[in-house]
Amino acid sequence: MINATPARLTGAGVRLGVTMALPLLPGVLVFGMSFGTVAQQTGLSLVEAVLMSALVFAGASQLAALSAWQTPWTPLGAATVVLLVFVVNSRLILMGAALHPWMSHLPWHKSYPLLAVTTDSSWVTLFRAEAEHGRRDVGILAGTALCLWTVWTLSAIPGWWFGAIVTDPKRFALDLVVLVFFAAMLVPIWKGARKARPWAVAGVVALAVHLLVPGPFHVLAGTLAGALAGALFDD
Amino acid sequence: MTDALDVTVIVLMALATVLCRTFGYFAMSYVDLTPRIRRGLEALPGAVVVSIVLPGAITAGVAGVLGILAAVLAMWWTRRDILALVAGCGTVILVRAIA
Repeated sequence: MINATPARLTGAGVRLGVTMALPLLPGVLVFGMSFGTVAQQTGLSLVEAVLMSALVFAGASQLAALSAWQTPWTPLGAATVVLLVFVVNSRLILMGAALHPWMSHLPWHKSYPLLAVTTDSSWVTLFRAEAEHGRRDVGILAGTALCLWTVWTLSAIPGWWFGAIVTDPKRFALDLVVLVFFAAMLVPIWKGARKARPWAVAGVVALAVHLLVPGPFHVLAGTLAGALAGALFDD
Repeated sequence: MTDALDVTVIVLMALATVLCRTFGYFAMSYVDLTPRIRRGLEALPGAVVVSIVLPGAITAGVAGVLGILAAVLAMWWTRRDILALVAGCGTVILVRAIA
């Protein structure tokens, strides 16, 4: 259950966060490089590609934006790209809501910067650390995010500059490293079958939307369905 | 060349993302943490992971599904994320090599 005790923000937590991010780095590196390559092919300058990774820091939405990139810009074209980014990242709205009980005691100049760098991986790592070590420390979020942001941003450079360095990433499963890591996270955050009933609802809805509706809507739909199911089911 | 309009679009993308990252948190300051809301938030970590992983695995085909099963089993067995990665990615490589 969501613990009512406020989380701490410690240097030890930051260091633990960095350590917990390490297994993710090869996958993030390859993902970041392939973003750089696609950005170059789409016609972005190196500075623009790195700027996008540094400022947006959300891989799936960046690739979605590139797929809709259409220079010379029209207002409609720009609005389409920005809206696409919003839709792909809308799951972060719910993820941020889940962080409220963790950080509401922190001053805004600490909580909002932490929110601004939150990604799927650092967010899940926070819940994993709580489940495994009983440790509620948003320093873990800071450490993981710092590590991922650095590698993500820098990896766009070789990807842009050299094109596809790893010519056959699929052969080495590099395209699935992040997904595989994510799947493994289900184990530490598992709290029994009863608590996992909303997960099943999320899975069914995500799969159905994925099969029926083209585009990136399945993540938000599944997440929303899971949260609603969680709220409606009794403990 | 760095184009001013490109940079404008990138900055707008960043603002849209920051809005996603902060709005849910901001909105929760106006919501009472009732037991129902609490249970809804509690369900989120699993719901997010499942909603990303299942469609992703299906898209990746047999290799993706088997790889993810192997990763979950290895994590269950050993509680070590590195071993889960090795088992999961190893399975993907193996299945793709055979297919």
